[in-house]
Amino acid sequence: MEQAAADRELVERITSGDQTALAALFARHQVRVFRFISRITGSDAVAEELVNEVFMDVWKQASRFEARSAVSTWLLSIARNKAFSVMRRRREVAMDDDAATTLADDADTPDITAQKSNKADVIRACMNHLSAEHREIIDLVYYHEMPIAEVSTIVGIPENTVKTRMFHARKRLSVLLAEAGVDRGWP
Amino acid sequence: MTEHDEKMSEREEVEMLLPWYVSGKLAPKDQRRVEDYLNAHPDMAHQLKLIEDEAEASITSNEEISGAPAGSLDRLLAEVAAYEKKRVVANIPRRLLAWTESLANDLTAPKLRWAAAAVATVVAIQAVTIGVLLVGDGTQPQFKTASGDKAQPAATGVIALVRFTPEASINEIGSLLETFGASIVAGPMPGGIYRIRLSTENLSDKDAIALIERFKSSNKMISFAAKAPGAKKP
Repeated sequence: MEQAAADRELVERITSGDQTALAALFARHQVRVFRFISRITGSDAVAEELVNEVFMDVWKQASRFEARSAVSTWLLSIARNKAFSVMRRRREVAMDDDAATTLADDADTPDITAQKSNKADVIRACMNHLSAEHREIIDLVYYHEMPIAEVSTIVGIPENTVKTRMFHARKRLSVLLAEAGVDRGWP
Repeated sequence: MTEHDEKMSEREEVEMLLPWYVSGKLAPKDQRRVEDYLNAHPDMAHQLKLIEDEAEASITSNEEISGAPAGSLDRLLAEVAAYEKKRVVANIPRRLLAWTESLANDLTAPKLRWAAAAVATVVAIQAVTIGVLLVGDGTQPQFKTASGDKAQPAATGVIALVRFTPEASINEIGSLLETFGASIVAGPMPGGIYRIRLSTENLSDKDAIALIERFKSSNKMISFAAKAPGAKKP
């Protein structure tokens, strides 16, 4: 059975109170959900707590799931809301879109080249210095392999904004790389 | 100015689609649009290499993060059990209230109606009290690990004691249980033993043992499986 269809079937079983189905859904998706939250919040401890909350929400709200999007998209939407709620409480990030494009990073001029020997390590280090919104969209596209429409659903922004936010995230990454001594020849 | 209000050139618009072009997640129409542009502007192919580097960095960074620690699934199921218990208790007064109203409305004489309602209310209060005493107040999880209460949960169907190899991951265990339609009743207990319900039906000893053997031989990550002592006899 195709993964998405199997996921939908599990959610249907959860609706009827099947805890084994919840355990199976947890087993399938907990790693991705955990990583998604951990990358946004920068904390494995927070991720551990929120992963449980995400699946408790699934248990309570399974009947409200609309099959218009994939279960994985639904899970990441719930996870995202919880992760950014934590971030808001910490007052570590600004949430509006305009701010996201110009948000000052924790360390704009990281002394990365002195510590990192190869280009791949430098890219990863610079990626970690992006704003949470930029790092999130990069992970959704590259690691979670989400199409534009699914990213739009998860992040709650129009599809055009998904494209421009990804574009700005990549540009910002290039700026950080240039500051770290890696000229990519773009933009 | 917001991100999407910016006026963009065709080049920028195509550049924006490139990450999804590389991952093969573009709609066919956009896929053709990018291909046509790349054919007409070979200099943009340089971007594809940059995107591959970015994707590799994102994937590697994510893969370094392990996932929820062992025991997370047990904790989740315990929270589910506690939540369900609370829900059951909360629903008792509502159902009884509906019953008392229905009973009162069926009677004709006003005095008799009031008397019946009063009696029914007393019965309802007693039922709620008994219900709370029996089920608990919902603040303690129903799910018990072996390190907690020594009492074993009620066992119906075929219950097996199972131990998995240390290499077995949560994912693998979850898949295996799903395949058998099995569920974890309790655990892990000392020695890493789980009580697992392999069937909700009460089978004969012979059939139950055969089922457990089939379960055990189905996967090398099961290092031990035996019929749970005290499991309900068929």
